[in-house]
This record gives sequence, C-alpha cells and structure tokens, in this order.
Amino acid sequence: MSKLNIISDSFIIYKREMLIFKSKLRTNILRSIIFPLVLILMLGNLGNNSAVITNIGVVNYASNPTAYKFIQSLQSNHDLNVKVMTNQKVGLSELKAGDITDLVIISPTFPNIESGTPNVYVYYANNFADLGDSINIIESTAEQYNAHVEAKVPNTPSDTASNEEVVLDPTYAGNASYKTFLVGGVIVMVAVFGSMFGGGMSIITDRQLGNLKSFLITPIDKVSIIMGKILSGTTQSLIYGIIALIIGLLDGAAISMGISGALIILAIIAITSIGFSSITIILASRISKVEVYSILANAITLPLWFISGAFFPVSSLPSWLYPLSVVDPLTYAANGIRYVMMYGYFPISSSITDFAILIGFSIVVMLVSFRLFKTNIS
Amino acid sequence: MPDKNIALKIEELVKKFGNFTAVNNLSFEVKDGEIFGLLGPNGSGKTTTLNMILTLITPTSGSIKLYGKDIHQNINESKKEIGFMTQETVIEQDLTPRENLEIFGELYHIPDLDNRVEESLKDAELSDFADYKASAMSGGMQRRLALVRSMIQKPKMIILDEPTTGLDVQNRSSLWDRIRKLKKQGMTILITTQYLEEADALCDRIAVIDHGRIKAIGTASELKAQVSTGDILEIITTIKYVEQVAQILKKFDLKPEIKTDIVTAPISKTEVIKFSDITKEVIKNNIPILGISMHLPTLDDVFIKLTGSGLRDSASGSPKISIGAKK
Repeated sequence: MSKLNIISDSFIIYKREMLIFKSKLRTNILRSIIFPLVLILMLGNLGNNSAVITNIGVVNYASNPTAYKFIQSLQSNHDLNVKVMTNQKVGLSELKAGDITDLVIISPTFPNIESGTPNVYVYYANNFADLGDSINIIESTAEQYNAHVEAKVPNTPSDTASNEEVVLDPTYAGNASYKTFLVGGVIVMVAVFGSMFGGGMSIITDRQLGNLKSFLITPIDKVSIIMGKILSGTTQSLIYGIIALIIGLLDGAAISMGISGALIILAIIAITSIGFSSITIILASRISKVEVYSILANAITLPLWFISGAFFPVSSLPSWLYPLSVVDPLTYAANGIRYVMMYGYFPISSSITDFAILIGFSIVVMLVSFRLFKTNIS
Repeated sequence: MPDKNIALKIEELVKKFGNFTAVNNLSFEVKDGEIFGLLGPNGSGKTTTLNMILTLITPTSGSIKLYGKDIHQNINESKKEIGFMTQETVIEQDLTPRENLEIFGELYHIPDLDNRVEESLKDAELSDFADYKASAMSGGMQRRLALVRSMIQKPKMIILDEPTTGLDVQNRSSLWDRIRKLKKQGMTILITTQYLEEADALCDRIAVIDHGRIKAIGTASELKAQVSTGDILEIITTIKYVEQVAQILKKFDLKPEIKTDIVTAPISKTEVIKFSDITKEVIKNNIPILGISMHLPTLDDVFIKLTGSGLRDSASGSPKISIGAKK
C-alpha cells in the first residue's frame, strides 16, 4: 500500500468520523459549551459581586497624617482586611507566601508628588487568591489623596523598589485578570476532553458494533484508521477550544497578542490534541468496554489538568506535586496559551521549550499508538 | 493449474492460539456460483475459519485459495474479491445510506462511485431513503443496506455470517430471495447460519464443522441420508409424561430422545408397522397425546447426530425460535 493511499484513506476515516460528529452537532456543541461556560462564568467571576474580603499589607514609610488617613481609608473598606507591616521585606515575604494578595508601599515622599515618580507602590499577585478586585479599590482610594500609584509586577523594568522576586512563576504576572488566566486552562482542558472522547474512543464502539471489522476487511491500512481518528479528535478539540475561547472573550478575558495570538493558541491546541488523541488509541487498543475507558480517561486527564496549573499557578503546588507538573505536557500547553493571552508576546525561549515538549510528547505517543493498534487489533 | 470451477479452496487449514487448536486440519471447497453453508456450534472454529478467509488472522498452517490464488499472499486483491456481511447490522446508524455506501466505496477506491452508489441504493430498494438517517430505517431495510454495502466493490464471492439473525419471518424470506437472486447472477456465496431450515432452503451444499474439523459435507439430502435409514417418530405430550413415553418406545426397541415435551426416535422403514402399536400403547396408559407424527430427518437431527448438541442450544444470545422444518 502506497503512502499516498494511506494518507487518502486516513481522510476517508476522518470524513466518516466528522460526518458522525456533524450528525450529532447540536448535542456535541451543547456538551462542549456547558463545561467552559460553567467554569469561566462561575469560577472566573468569583468575587466580582460578592463580599470577598482580601488580605492586603501596608508598609508606611511616610509616617505623616495624610499617610495615616490613607491607611484608615483602606481599613474602612469592607472588602479589605488591612495588615500594617514594619517593612517592605516582611511584606514581600508575606506576599510570596500567599498570606496577603497585595502589598501597598507608601513612599517617604507621600503625599508630595515629584514629577514622574510614584509615591505609592502596589505589589500584587494576580493569582487565584486575588478575586476581590483589591487593586482597583486601592487605586481608587489612593486617588482620593492625589497619590501617584504604580502597580508593581514582577520582573518589570521599572521595579526598582526591591530586588526581590515577588513571585517566581511568570503566570502570576502580567496585566491580565484571573479570568484570562483561567480561560487558558479551560481551553486546554476542553481540548483534551475533545480528544479523549472524540478521538480513539470510537474504536471501542466500532469494535463492539462490528464496524472495525468492516473496515479491516477492506484494503485499508491500520495506520490510516489511526490517523483518521487522530485527525478527527484534533478537529473536534479545535472546535471545542475555539468555543471555550469565545466564551472567555465574551466574558471579559483577553488575548493580549491579538489575532496572531489566537493562531498560536490554535496551534497549541492542535499539537496537544494530536498527543491526547493518540493516547485514546493506546487505551482503546487495550480496552474493550466504554465504561472502563471513561474511568481511565478521567483518571488520566483530570490529575494532569489540575497539576498543569489550569486553576492556579504551578508554583502554588505542594513541593511533592510540583515535579509532576514539570513532566505534564498540559503544563506547557497552558503556559503557552497564557503567555499569548496575558503578556501579549510569546518569548522565544519559552516558545521553543513549550512547543518542543508538546511536539515531542505527541510524536512519541502517536508512534506508540501505531504500534499498539497494529499488534492488538485484528 | 487452478480449477476455474472452484471459487474457494481450503486445504489442511490449522489455526492454533497457544496450546488451543481452533481449526484442525480443515479442508473443503466452495464451487463457483454455489451457495455453501458452514454450520457449527459456538466454538466449533467457524468464526476463526471465516476470519482467516477474510485475512483478519493468519493461519498457523495450510492454505486458502480464492480462484487459485493464495489469499494471504495477495491480501489486497483478495479483499476486493470477497464481500462480507456480519451477523450484526453493521451500518453507521448516524449516517445516511448514501454516506454509508460512499465511505466504503471510497475505501475500495471504486471509480465512478456516484453511479455505483445509486446502483446499490436501487438494488436495495432504498433510493427513496438515500438521504435519511439509517437509524430511522426498519431492521429489514438496514439489513438490505448492509448487504449492498458489503458488495459495493462488486466482489466475486460474498460471505454472509448469520445474515438473517434477528429478522422477522417476512424480512427473512425477503433476504432469502435476494440471496437466491445473487446466486442467479453468478455470485459465489458462503453462508453461516444458526437456522437449519435456512441452510436447508438456501444452500447447495453444507459442511458441518465441530472442534475445528469437518464432520460431514454434502447436500442437505446427502447429510440427512447419512444420519438415518428411515423416518423420525415424534410424540408430543406434556412434560409430566415424557419419561413414560420414552419407556414405551424402549419396549419397542427404539432409542428415544427427549426434548422438553417432545419424544423422538429414529424408526426404520421396516419398523413402521410398530407405529399403530405404539400409539395404542400410549393411549392405553392414559397418556395425553398433543401430537404424533412421522417425518424424514431434518438438518436439526443431522446436526444433533454429528455434533452431539442442537445448533440453537449452543448459540448463546441467539433468539430461541423453533427450528427444523418438517418435510
């Protein structure tokens, strides 16, 4: 059988899978909407309209009446729990430890304004804990005292107040909201679920119903069956990923990098889906019951999703779990998408790492799936 | 020089799975243009044999030749020349008949596929339903679609694996007519079935296979002649009295067999005179008789004689419908 035939036959299997997908389009789309809708709308908007009390720290280097009044104003806000700290170093270590989500540094010059120099600095961790919109409250309160506020983010060139890294994980940083952070993780998850339940899983039902036997008695090469299934799983993942992205964007998330960023996101989804669709082939080659497959698929994907930093940055993981996130391909998929969405740029060193790991992972599992399917299916 | 009249020639075929021998030195031929029945209980090696003919598994030894060519040395060519319809209605329920046919037509790389699809839809009398979902069609329509789909590549031979399982009497009869029509068109057909009357009605020749070996082969009449030199006496009573009836038959030097409420015994031509005496004896013992008859042995009787069990008894999950047409 020529390579050309293998490829053309793959597209026949792909066509068949996509026709089946199309025949259940309404159900498939509804199913794909529910998951991101619930996560993004509910989890992504946690605290927007509710009384979430946020712990913040204040270091007062001004020690003048206006500074005290400013602190009192912050303390009078019901959404903030203000802790006055002795110095910046203590404050930064508490910020790093996650005890506070924002650290307000009142500079000695406050309330005087020198041209171009801020007199209030706010360090913040834009992470899971920061749900109470505390930065906006701090900034609006500071404006009442004509303060010149600068929100400090880690590693920014203007960060001269401290040499300390506030947070090592880059996913904390940037100007994006938690919602944008979450959307990146949700996109990865719906894409993986799309692969797991839209790719090779149908091999099990095909085998049970006799469809697989019908294919195998035709002159088709088994590789074509695998490739067709992987392609369809990847296409379905892309559809689900796009839906999740649109839901996120409609709800206020952003892609800082714009259209080119959206294309990078699609590329990341596609590469990740090829890998996970191949995993479905591996599972389906060894499993004959859909129920067992579903249990295993969930047992594999859910932990991978959680340790990938879908809900929270991987640096927040316990020390025993962190190494697992390093070998989790989803960590790199989520990372890549977040760079695009939150930073507006895709750092070349990071992109090489993320893409290389994802591509390497996908190629390895695809080759394993070819081998297992060819030997186990007859 | 291969015999052109032989479509399929199986010689000394062996298939072992570890220490288990599923097919044991099996040999038979299917003539060009005939309907050949392969009968055997579950685990007889029937499915393994079919899978080897379909090139899904490789024989341990022996050969399978299709029109003189070894199929395992010409796999792709053989696949195009053999059609296969499984016992399940293996059509994609979410697709239309047209889509079902197109997908398989494309896999066989059929030129002018559109015309071939239209032709197949017409053959299956499904032209008016071509663009409806297959799931909306009746069982009979789905089976017709499965049949034309299995022949989309215009094979020389078709294997029908229990083609009428689960169909009602009307649809079964309709499918029989289609199978006979295929034979008239020159198609060679290898059929497996659990309905012995189906084999009796359709097959030119039948092979009974058990434990991976051929137990008997021939026409239905030849097989019946092999197992009996006379008729079968059959007495239907209630379960309570079957043992008593069996004892009476033994008194007349017959060898009774009990099947629920039916007692049967082979009876030779010379023993036919015993019939009235047996009847009188049964009545004298006040045994209720629901039916009493003599008939020629059926394929069911042949099967039991050759394999030690009824075909239907061994077919797990199959519909338990009475079989064995009386002739």
